[in-house]
Amino acid sequence: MNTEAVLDNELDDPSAACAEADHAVLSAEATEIAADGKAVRRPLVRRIVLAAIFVAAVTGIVLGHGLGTLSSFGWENVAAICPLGALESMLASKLLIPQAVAFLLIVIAASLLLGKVFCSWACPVPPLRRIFDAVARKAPTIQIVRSKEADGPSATSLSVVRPLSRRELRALEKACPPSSSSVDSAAGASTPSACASCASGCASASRPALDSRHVVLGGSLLSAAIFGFPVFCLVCPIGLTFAAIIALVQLFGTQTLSWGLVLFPLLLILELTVLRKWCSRFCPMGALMSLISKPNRAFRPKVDESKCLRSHGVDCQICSGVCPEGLDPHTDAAMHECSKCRDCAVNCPANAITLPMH
Amino acid sequence: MGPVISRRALMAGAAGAAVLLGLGGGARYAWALSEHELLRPPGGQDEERLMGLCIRCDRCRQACPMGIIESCSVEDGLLSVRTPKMNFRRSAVQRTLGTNEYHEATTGYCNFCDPDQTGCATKKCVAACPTGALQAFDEARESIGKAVIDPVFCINYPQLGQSPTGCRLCIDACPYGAVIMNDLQRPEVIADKCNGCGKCEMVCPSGTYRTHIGESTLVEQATAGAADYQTSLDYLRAHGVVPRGINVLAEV
Repeated sequence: MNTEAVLDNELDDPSAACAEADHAVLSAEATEIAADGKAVRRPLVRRIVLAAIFVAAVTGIVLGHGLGTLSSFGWENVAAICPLGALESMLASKLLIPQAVAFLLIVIAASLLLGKVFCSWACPVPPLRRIFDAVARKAPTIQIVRSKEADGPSATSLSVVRPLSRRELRALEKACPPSSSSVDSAAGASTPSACASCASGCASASRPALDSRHVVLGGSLLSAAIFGFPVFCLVCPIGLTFAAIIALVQLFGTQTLSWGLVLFPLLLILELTVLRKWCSRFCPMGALMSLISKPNRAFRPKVDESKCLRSHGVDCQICSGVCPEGLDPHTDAAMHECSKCRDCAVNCPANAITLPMH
Repeated sequence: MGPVISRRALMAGAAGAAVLLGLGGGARYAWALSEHELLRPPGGQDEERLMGLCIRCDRCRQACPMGIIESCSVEDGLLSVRTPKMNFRRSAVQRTLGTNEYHEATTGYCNFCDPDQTGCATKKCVAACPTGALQAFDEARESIGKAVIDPVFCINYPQLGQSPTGCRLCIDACPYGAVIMNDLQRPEVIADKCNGCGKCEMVCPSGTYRTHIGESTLVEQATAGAADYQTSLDYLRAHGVVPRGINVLAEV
């Protein structure tokens, strides 16, 4: 369990967070960090694919060969359409668009086979988030902690930790007034053990069938139907990313100066920093993908338990820690959320995880 | 088996949904109050239909070979952010130095993707639209908008002590013979022949000769009761730029 999850609990139930923080402080005395700061790796193939899609869209905007953006991508009248945009526009106009319905069927078929593959292989939002994280020095790292009780056996734990922001530190401080003097060190140095304290993959223990994303999805469909235009398109971070680029291109191409030049990137940064967990909490596109990916069984990560460090007495949480969906490949819980990103396989220290076509 | 959705998730999601509903209502309200009259690409003249169907994907703008489709920004109203609009002010007629010869501009107006006027060419913006927000368009029967002369800015009208110039640029440019010179030596639009291609607005040189008429002049004259100036002022308020001597206006 990573630090984000700690914060989750803290917001849920302050006393639980206090308990965890106290635990962290307690075990901090018996803990030394042997090695830390190894960056989380992302598969090269995925980074190349993401970059290629983004560059293709941007060259389309700059050169105007009509490829389109991720909202609709294609050549002439053969084009992929954003499934959420397609649903919204059909609800808004109360019209059935044959091309959109046909493409929705293709998306559903593709989701049966590939699941939420769009989320980590095409969407520019997670890479943008990682860039923002890197700029703010909040990039997650892999921490190895060797703790040794005074007379007991030593234990090793591996986990993924994201440094806490000042806002989160304040929240933690507010939740735990008694140990406030030691909160800073608790949050800074010994969060790894706080993470390790939640040993067996509570990230994916039992998820309710629906979450806040699905409510936002309902809201975006409802607002489109009521107000007669795709409202969510105005704030969609994918749309805003390309809108910012279009505004920039129009500035240099036709000297069109507009407020969009400032407002589009500002709104995008706000969405991805203030609403840090955009993808897992708010994205209606992800919600739609997760709904239609429910029956997906293919391309799931497989863990070779004999190789896994957990079967060798090491408390390793790397696979669930790096997972952008917060899944634990050791269990099948909520595995339809898997976006086939391969981060778990690439970061596994024992190479115990495989995905098809690896 | 736990609950279908946790209370906290429901609250967070409801907050997000409420923001979207507020945004939708706010954008609609602002639109109802505003004076925007946007000129849409061919086939997008049904404003409600375009609003509903356009997913703001930018493909029509990219597909346009004449470079006249522009992506709306916040200034054009929250409701139409990132929807396409026409801009006929992008390129200017160029004069050969030292002569009175003008180069035919190759972009900057709508030729309906049919430079030879065969009448059967596919419009690239319409073909690129993935949701049918831009419908099939027949430029012989339908129009993007209608050209209207602005007597304040047209240099054939004597304004502020200047005399008519005999400028024929819009008349010579019009591919459909919709602009003629009347007996008073002033241009006149035959509305039935005009399909709003924007070539007249593109070639109009008023931007060069009428720079001295700005917002302050328009306000001053309009408050003094000059109807022509009030019309020009309305154009400025709705489009964010001063009119030219001839402008394509959306049909209401």
